[in-house]
Amino acid sequence: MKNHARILLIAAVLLASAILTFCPEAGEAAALRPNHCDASFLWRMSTCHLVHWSAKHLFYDGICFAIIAAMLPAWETIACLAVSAPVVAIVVTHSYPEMTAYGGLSGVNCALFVAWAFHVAGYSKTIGFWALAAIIAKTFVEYHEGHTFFVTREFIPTDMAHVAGIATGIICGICRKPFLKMIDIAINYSKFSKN
Amino acid sequence: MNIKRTIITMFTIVTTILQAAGTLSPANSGLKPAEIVSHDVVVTINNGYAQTEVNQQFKNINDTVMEAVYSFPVPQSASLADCQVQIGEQTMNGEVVAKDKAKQVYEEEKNAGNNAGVADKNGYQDFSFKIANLGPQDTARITFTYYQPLPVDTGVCRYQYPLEEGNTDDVGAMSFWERNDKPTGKTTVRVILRSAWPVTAYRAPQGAVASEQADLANGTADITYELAEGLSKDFVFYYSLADNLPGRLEVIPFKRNGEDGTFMMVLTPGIDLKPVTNGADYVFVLDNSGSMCGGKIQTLAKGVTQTIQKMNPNDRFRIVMFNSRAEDITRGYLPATPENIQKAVEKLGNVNACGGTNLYDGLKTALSKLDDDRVTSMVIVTDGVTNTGEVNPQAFAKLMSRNDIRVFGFLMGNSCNWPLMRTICDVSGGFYDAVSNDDDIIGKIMLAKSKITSEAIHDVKVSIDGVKTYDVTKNCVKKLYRGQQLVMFGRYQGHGEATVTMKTRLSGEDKTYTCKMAFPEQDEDNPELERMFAVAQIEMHEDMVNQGLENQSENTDIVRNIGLKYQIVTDETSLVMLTDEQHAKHGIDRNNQKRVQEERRAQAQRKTQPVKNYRVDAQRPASPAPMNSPAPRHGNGMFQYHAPHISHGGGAMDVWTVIIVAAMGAVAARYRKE
Repeated sequence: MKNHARILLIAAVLLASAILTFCPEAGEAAALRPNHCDASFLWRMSTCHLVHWSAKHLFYDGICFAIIAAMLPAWETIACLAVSAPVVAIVVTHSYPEMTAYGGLSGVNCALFVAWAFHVAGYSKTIGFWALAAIIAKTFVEYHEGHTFFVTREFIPTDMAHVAGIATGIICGICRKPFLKMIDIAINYSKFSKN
Repeated sequence: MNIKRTIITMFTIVTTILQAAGTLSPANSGLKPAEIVSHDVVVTINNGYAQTEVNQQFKNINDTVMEAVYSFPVPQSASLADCQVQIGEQTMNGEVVAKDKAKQVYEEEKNAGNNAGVADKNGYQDFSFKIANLGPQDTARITFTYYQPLPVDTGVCRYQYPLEEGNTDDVGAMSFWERNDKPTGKTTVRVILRSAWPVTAYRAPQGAVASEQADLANGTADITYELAEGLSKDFVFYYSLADNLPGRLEVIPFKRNGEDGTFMMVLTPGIDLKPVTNGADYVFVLDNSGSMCGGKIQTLAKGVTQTIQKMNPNDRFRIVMFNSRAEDITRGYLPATPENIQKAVEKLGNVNACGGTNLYDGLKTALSKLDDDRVTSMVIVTDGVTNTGEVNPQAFAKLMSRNDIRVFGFLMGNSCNWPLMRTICDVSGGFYDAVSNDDDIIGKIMLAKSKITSEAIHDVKVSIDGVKTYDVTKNCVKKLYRGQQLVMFGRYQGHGEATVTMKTRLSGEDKTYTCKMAFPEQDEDNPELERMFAVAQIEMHEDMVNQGLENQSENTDIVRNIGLKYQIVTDETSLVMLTDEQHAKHGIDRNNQKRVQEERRAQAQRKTQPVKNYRVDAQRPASPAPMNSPAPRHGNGMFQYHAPHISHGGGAMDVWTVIIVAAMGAVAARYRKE
């Protein structure tokens, strides 16, 4: 059941991304427009992450998302997406006011990866630490150099989206345990009430 | 700092000898000049070009009939499009015909005692309007309109309404008419600004604001200035765009349904060019002809002195002064040591202004002894027309094409030979700028300084694929300097999606930038583009003649045909102003009337609409990409002006990111299993 939820979630995200990428009109309607904020910002801050600018862009963002989402429990993925999607969109809008269009899963992928690092730290602090260190180092280099570690062609990613993703991932990771505890308490209270 | 001081000096050398233009005078001496009742100008700056409408009312205060002559310096790249004269109840409208025919028709009407008018272009110097048979105490109103492209330089756009005249040995010596340059009524200039980009500020140093209404965030302003000095000084207006605007490609199209279209393409590169840090050579080619006499030459000497005193130790300088002949007063390049500077200062103090203007000799002297291993910048300052020694433009073109140097030309006053300077700069990949005495000198200096001391983009070639284009002007330039826009005009057939490709060489590396855009099937918002395209074509042919690539007789025919087709005043065509009946009598087609009506309709319509942004790379901007690769649909690539990292619109993962994530996932999964 747990695996079904993950597969369904990954498939839904990838399918929506493919539609928004290969249907330019839909992509234009869904992409974030930092230089032209209006009421549509409310949905664009969620939908923009599904818009990609080329098949290659979608392929690598999609495959990263699929791997990370496959490793995380579905509820954690959904919770992290719910928090990081608007945060990344707001940070991008604030940081790049002249940008005409923003899209891509990489910002939320960073958040998911950090959330996964916290998840892994639950059973291996070493792996969790190195995963977190790796993503922070990569983002720091991007921020410092003004371009990504590996990607040098077609377009240069928005480094602040990755910074925002990491920050929300850390918040999600820190809140994970108290959240789980609260869920446990809620479940126990519910059982206790029934009894 | 050093360059800045030089240019300050150069700009301040022109002072007092100028006279006013834009005034009306009797053609025959002995009569009093017409009294100018009012002089009003309306300037509409709309997305890269300006429309200037001049409206002047004047009165013949003599007791006899006069033939009045009105002269007006030719604004750079201006297309005089329309002229109307109203005397009493009679209205005369202009139609462009061949120069000979215009002269013949005008003389016929004049001799018959009728009112008539004619507008001629006298080379690069002035437009002259003649009005025949202006009766005693008659009041006449003359209205004319011209269009000109208005590029933005480093975020600042400058508009000049030229009024000062003379400033050359030739024209200055003419002192041809008595002048009455003070209207009895007000002299006003109304500037209507409509920019697609947010404006941060505007200013007009000479005008007192009479009324203003501005919404700078939306790029609009409507300001009326009163000119206290009357018509004796140029009116210069500046506005600055918001900082950090992206580099961009803007294309303004015009196309009637079923006909070929016209476009104006403005490329604003967003590359932040690096300063030249290695030791550079600067050669100053300075005019000390007779027109520089008085305080100007002392000011020039003082300014150059201050400049060389502030040079970097690894820079070298050389000073060539020219009048009837050139003299290298430093005897070659000198390192900027205190001793050399002291010697140069003493020599500059002994320079006198006299003689003619032999620019060729000045350039030839300056081009000798160049060091191939060092970047050489040549700063030319002249306030006159070359009139001694070699005056053939082809010789200048040949001379300048022999060396790879950076040329910066500064032309003082409104009657300088800017077509010659344009040729010099075209063949050498240089930059030139006209400077008015009434310019905001410090602002001009700052812009010029950033160009001279920064790297340039080399060998810029712009091509358009997907839609057939032709007669494209300035699509290949040798150098593009910091903050400089590339303005191109052209025609296109059909419509649809096209790819614009710019190939350049930057810091020794070849770079290609592409962008997709759509040429419309029909767009009649900007009919004025056709006239500006026509002027750009004429200038291109003029340059070809100057470079020996086209012969003069061939050029005469081309210019005449372009002038007649697009109804603009050229050296071969004139605007003859007659009543409807007179036009019919002489069998003159009303082509200009149709064109003017079309333009007025479009202008009225534009007024009611918000300012249109013609940027074509907003969704699919020009970005660095290897040849044959698809252009990205977002972001700004190199077209980001100040900070190339600011406007890139998406995150990116790649194969390495995937491998790292997958590997870490695999390790974690294996660890958990164990």
